[in-house]
Amino acid sequence: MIRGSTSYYVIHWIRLYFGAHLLFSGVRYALTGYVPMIPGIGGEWVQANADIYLYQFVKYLEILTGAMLLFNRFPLLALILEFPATVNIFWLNTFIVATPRQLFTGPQELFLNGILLLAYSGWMFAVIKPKVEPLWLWNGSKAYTSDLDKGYVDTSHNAIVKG
Amino acid sequence: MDKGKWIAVVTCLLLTAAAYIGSTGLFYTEYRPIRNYDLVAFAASWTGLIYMLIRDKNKKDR
Repeated sequence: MIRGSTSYYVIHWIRLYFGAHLLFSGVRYALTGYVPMIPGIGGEWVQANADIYLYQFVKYLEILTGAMLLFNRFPLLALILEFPATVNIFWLNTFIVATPRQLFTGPQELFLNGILLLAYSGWMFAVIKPKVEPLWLWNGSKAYTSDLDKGYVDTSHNAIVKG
Repeated sequence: MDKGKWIAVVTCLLLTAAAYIGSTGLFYTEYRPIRNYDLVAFAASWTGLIYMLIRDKNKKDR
């Protein structure tokens, strides 16, 4: 993605929005124990998750991933870690609770995480290669062969800039 | 500010409007005032965007 392009700014706006959204949600839970009232079987599912401490785990994970996105540190890792919770929220809100507002917030969660994951996934292009050999994570830098491994393209200087 | 940056700002305004409508229920369900949860996310995203636009303002527009 070219620094200074339209998509560059929009993606960073979404990153900051999603990061703040997650961080606020996680910190609010940590400070107040707030759990939204969810009607029906959706609420029973959330209560069951709380009973086995999965809900608490997800809330503290939101603090971590929200901070990572908001401060732009390991954003791709944050998006991957958050994705299972996002799918859960999407499914629960869209198909189980399905009240008018949840029909918005469920797809919104999937849109935010999904579009960001798509925007950052150029760094893991190998996932769509049909045949890859094993490569340890710590040897991953050897997979990058383009100049982009140094950072982002800054066309204003017509040069690669350390990112 | 070149055309691309203005399009980015307009896109972010549209995203803000969509998030506002979605959260409050405006036009489609029982209205609920905007929450601090949403306001904090709007503040962070707009502060960051404005910072980036100011940071990049001296760079040659393309």
